[in-house]
Amino acid sequence: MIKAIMAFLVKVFYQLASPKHFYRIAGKLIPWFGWFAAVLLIAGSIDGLFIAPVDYQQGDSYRIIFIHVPAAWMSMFIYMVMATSGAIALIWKIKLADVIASSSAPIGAAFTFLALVTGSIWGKPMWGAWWVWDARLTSELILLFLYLGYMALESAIEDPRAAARACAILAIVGVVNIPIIHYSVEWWNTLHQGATVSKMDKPSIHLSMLIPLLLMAVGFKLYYAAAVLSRARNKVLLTEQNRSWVKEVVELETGVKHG
Amino acid sequence: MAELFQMGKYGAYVWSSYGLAVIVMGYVVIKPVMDKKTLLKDLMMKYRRESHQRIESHQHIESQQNKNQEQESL
Repeated sequence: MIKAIMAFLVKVFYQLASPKHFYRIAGKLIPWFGWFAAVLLIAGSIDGLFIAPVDYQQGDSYRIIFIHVPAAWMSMFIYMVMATSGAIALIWKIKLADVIASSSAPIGAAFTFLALVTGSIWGKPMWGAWWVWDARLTSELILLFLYLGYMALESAIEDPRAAARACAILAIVGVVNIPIIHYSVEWWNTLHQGATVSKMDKPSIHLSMLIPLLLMAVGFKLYYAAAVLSRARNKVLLTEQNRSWVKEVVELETGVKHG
Repeated sequence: MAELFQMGKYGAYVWSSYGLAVIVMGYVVIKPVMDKKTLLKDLMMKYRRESHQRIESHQHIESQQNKNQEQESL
């Protein structure tokens, strides 16, 4: 029984690791992730903007939290995905892992940018400043530079295999920054408010505010899944362009046949 | 109804945050769709070029063979 399950899992793994199967399976998954993401994000936004009660201290300005916090979570989550797939690619030489890592970088950068800018927009009315050089903000800014550095490094090295190796190493080294971001509000004195959801005992956020926050968080995850798969599919087509299956895909999707 | 959209005195902050999120996230998903269109077009052209070259080189070989045969028959 266990042997059969293992054999099945190995088969699934190898199928997913093969670019051809990945392209087909990802193509089927993207609409599911995309539509579920759209439903959750629309529901979460309506709940967060209009239904969740006004905060007794921050008034309506706190509604930025429903973008800001899930975006900040995503910025760290995507970085971990990027570093992990970089490590997998280094150790097991799975090309697809590199594809996932490099497809993740611009999406991670976008979420980091969103977290920083919405934080700034929220900080202005609450702290009276667009920006302060405190630990949480600075370490998140370093995260943005790590993403941008990754992308710059990737485009600077001509040999794609050497570029993937260098990028994977950069991503792995940069993981140091992730716990610094997470614990920065505990380790240093800061203007930034502490964790409200991840506290072990009990989240200090009311259920009526927690629900839209979680809707947005899950929506962002599904959105990332759809976005990263569609980028990865493009990269697979590009790198495998001399394979006959890519030719078949191009013929099928453009409706033009060649001799 | 208008009050609902006003967000107290924080309307500008709240709406600019949500607006920015829509723009950034929209760009992130539209970009690969656009890229795919250009990629498919480029690959289609490349395959077309290659198949033309193959036909041409084929014709070239055939004409060479014909010439050879003509010379032999002479």
